Amino acid sequence: MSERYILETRPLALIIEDDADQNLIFTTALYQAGYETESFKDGLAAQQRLSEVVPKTVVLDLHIPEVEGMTLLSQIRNDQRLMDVSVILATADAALAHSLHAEADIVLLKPISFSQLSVLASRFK
Amino acid sequence: MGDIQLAPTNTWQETLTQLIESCCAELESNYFRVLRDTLFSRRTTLRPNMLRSIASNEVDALNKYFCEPNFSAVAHGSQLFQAGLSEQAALRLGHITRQFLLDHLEQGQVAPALAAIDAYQEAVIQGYIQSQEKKILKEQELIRSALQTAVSRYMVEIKEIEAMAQKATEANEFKTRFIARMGHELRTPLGAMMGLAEMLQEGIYGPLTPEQKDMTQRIVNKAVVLKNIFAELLDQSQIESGQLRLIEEEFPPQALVEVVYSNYLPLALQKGLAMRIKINANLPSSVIGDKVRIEQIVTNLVVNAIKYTESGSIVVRVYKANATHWSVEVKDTGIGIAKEHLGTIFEPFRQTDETAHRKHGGVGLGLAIVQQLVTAMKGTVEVKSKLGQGSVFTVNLPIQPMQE
Repeated sequence: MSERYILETRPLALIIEDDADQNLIFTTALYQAGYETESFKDGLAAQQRLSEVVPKTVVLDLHIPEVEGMTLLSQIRNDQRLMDVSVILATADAALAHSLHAEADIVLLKPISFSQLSVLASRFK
Repeated sequence: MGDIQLAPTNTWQETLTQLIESCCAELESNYFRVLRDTLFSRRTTLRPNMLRSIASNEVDALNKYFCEPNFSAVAHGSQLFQAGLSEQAALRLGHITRQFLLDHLEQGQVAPALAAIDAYQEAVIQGYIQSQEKKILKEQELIRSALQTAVSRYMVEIKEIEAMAQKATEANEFKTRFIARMGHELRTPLGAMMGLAEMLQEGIYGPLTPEQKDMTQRIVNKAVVLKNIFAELLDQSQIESGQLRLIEEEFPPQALVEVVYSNYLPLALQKGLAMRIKINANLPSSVIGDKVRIEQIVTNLVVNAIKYTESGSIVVRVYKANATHWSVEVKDTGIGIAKEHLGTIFEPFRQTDETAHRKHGGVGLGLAIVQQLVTAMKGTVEVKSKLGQGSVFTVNLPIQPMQE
């Protein structure tokens, strides 16, 4: 498998999570699920990148600096260009997780299992 | 008393004065007798010697009234009141005095003497009433100030109690927020730890030796235990703060119980316990309720049964209890629960004793959460148990949401 081949065939996933370890886990899980991944530590950088590319999947933590996860979520949902993006929400807030089921494709309650995320993400490819 | 002689030239005042002076001894005996009869008939508390002194005082007062210009009949009435004479007795005293004197006066002296005696009597009564009023006012004042004291003390106490209640509420709210916050803060690094361990396990960073795999698995297992504890704490704080939201959806109860069974069969087998499920033929194919929370209820009961059973079996029975309810029954052959503990096992952070806690671990929220969830679903949970023989927990849940 050449590097080029991977870049051309792998769907893109954006990982938006400010905790470095959690970000590493999400990124690795999505990479293992067959995605090309890009990691973001804050909402602003992710917002900027979303205006340039159309990822297949976004893993979004709700509590992130600069631009709130909720804001990003509603921006993705209201943008025609991004209508086919699958959003996997990650939150530690159970009540919030419940209320956002309609908005996101999957809501995962932290702590999130690495293998579970990997399996779930591969479904959206 | 017929031998009293009155001079015809005397004015009536002089006659009266003379009369009083001359018949003082007789007054003291006769007057005292009449007075005693009168006052005793009114059940007075006065003793005879007090009565005698009243009688002689009265004679004395009357004498002074006619002889001394400064004598105040009003003050005398006030003294009578202060001496404890009842109003009736005081009136009666005046009447007797009047009658007694009239009996000793001659025809021509009657009218002016009568007026004088009436004036005297009126003044005495006036003094009596004034004193009585003063006493009543004073009593009223006392009662009012006592009431005021009581009320203000009561107000202070109410304020104190309100402040205490406020503090208790605040402390409870703080506890709920604290648990929610801590649960959140603890779960973030825990999540990372679990994920990182899982990544090792998955061989992302190269293959592991069997020992390394075992160690990694142990880390993951312990992280799962922690995760479950945090989840329970968060559930409890959510229920306590009234943030619990139940979702209603249709689902097959049989499948739900089977999922719990297959999830926990390995744990039971590991402990050498048998575990079975019995699905009754009358069980509805679908019910409406919060599937996730009902699964949590059944899970907590099954985990509890496995935890407190050392040998034997766990049987989960599911059936339709009546037209409106379905039931999950979890029966174990465990240590059982003593009668005195049956009342408290559903309270949060309760385990029957400290020894049980050290042996079995956990924060003691499993059953509390079961009961609170079941109650929120308008169902019931019951327990029957025999120490040393085992326990049966039965949860009854509505087949469809109950009408309010």
